[in-house]
Amino acid sequence: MKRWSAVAMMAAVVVLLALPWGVREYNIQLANLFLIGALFALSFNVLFGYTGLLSFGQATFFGVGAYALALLMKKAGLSFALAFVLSVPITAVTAGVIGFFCSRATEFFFSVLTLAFGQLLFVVASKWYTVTAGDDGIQSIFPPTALGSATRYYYFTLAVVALCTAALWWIARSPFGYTLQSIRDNPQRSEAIGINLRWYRWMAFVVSGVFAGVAGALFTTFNWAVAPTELEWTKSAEPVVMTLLGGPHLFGGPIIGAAIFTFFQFYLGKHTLFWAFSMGVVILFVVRFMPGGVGGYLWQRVQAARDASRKHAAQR
Amino acid sequence: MTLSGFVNQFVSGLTFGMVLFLLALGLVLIFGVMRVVNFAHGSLYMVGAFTGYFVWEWLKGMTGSFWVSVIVAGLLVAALGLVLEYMLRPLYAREHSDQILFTYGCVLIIGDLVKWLWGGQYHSVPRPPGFQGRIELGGVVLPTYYLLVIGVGVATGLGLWLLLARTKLGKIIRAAVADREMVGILGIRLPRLFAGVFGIGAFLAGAAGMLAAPLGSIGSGMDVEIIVAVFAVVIVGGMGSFLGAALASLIIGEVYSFGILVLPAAAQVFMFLVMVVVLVVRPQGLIGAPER
Repeated sequence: MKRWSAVAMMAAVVVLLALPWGVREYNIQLANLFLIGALFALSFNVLFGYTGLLSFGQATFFGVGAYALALLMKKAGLSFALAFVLSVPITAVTAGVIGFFCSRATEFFFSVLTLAFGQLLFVVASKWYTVTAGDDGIQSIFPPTALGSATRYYYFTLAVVALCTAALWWIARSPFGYTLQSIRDNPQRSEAIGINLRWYRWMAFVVSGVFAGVAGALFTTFNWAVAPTELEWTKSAEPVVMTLLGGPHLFGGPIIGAAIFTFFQFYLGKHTLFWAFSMGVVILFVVRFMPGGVGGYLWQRVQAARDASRKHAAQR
Repeated sequence: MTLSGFVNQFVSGLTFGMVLFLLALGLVLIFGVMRVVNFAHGSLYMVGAFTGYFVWEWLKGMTGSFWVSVIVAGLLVAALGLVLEYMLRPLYAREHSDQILFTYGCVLIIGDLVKWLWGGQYHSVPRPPGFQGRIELGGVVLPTYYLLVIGVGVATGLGLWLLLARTKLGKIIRAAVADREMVGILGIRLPRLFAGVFGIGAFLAGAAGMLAAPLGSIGSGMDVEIIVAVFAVVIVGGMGSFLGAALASLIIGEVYSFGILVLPAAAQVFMFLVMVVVLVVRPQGLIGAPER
C-alpha cells in the first residue's frame, strides 16, 4: 500500500514539475487553479474528514487571506513577500475568533454557524466601501516581477502548496491529528479519556482556516484582483464538492477532487448559468451513490486487488 | 425617536418576525420528526415568492388574485417539498452530514434553476386590495398589511398548535418527535407521516414567500438571505421548540428592524450578535433541552 501511494505521489510531482514545458499558457493557469483548489479543499477536509465537522463557510478564510494580502499590499504598501507572510497570522486570528464560537457547536449547528459567519463577512466585504472597495473589489494586485510570468507564478504556487500539503500530512499523522480523528469517530469516548473536545475542535478550525487563507492569498496575486465573491457561500461550496468528489476519508482525496473539479470547471465554464446547479447535482449524486468519492472507490479497488493477489499467493 | 416612530418600527419588526416564524415552524417541525435540518427551506420560500408572483400576474385583475396566488404558491411548493422528501428517503439511515449535504445541494440547484427560469431581475407585488392603506391605532398610523401579516402568523401558530395538541395527527406527530421508531412499530406508516410533515413545512414556506412579497421585493438571492435569518431564529429559540421559535422570531425580527436604524447597510450584524451571545450563554437556545 505504501508503495502504491509513494509511486502515485512521485508520478504526480514529476508531472506537475514538468507541466509548463508541455502545455500552453492557458493550461499552466488551469493547473495553477487546480493547485490552489487542492489546498483549499485539503484545508476544508481538516474539519470535515478529520474532525467530523461540516463547514459551509470555508470561503470565509479563503477570502480573509485573499483580502489580507490585497489590503496589505495596496493600503499598507507592503512588499508581496511581507504581505504574504503577514496574511497568515491575520487569517489565524480571524479563524481563532470565529472558531471560538463555531467550535461550541457540532453537526448541523456547526454548519449553520459557519454559513452564518461566512455571510456576515461577505456582507462586510461587499458593503464596507472605504476599506474593501465594496462590490467592486480591489484590482491590480500584481505579484513581484520575479514571479511575473505564468510559469514562474505556477512554480511559486506549486512550492507553497507542496509545502502546505506536507505540513497537513504531518499534522494528520501527529498525535494532534489522531486526536481529531478519535473525536470524529467517537466524541463521547474521546471526552471520557480526557480529551478537551472544544479545544481540539477550535484548534482544528484554526489550522483549517490558516491553510484556506494561504490558498486565498495565492489566488489574489494569481488573479491580480479580489472581490467579495471569493467570500460568498457558493465559493464555500467549492471545497465541499471537491472533497466529496475525491473522497473525504483519504488524505489525498480532496486533491483528486480538485483535479476533477478544475477539469469540469474548464469544460462547463465557471460563468455559465449552470455552475452552481452542476455543483449541486454532483453533491446529490456523490452523496447518494458514491459516498467515498472517486478516491474512495479507487482505494477500494486497489485493496480488493491486493486481497485477491494475496489469496492467490496463499493458494499456491 | 418619537413614540409613534418607535411603535412603527416595532410593528415592522413584528411583521418580519412573523414571516420568520412561518419558516421556523416548518424547519422545527421537519427537524423534530425527521431529524433533518432542511437547508433548502429558504429556497422553498424563494420558489414560493416567484411562483406566487407569476400566478398573481397571470390572474391580474381577478378579485382575490393575491390570496389565490398565496395558496397556489403554498401548494406548488408543498409538491416540490414532497419531491425533495422522496429523494431524501434513502439517506434517512445515513449520517446527519449526508442529509445536510443533500439539502445543501438542493439550495445550489434550486438557486440556479430559479435564475434560469425567471431571470435575475427583481419583481414586486403591491399590497392586496383592502390592505393598501394605513390605520390609526391610538395615535400611531400603521400599514394595514403589516397587521394582516401579523394576524396570519398568529393564526397559523395557533392553528398548528391546535393541530398538534388537539387532533390525532398532532398526537402522532408529537409521538414521532419523541420516538419515531416506536411510532413506526405501533403501526403508523412513517413514510406517509414524513411526507406529510415535509409537505406542511414546505407549504408554510411557499405561502410565506408570497405573503412576504408585498413587504419587499422578489429576487434570486433571497433564499440564502432568509435562511440565515431563520437559522438565527432556531439557534436563539432552540431547535426542538415551537415556543422557542415563536419567541426567537420576534426577537430576531425586532433586532433586525431596529438594527436597520443603526446600520442600514448591514442590519444582519445585530442578528449575528444576538445569535453569538445566545450561543455562548445558552448553547441549547432560550427554550430547548440541554445537551443538544
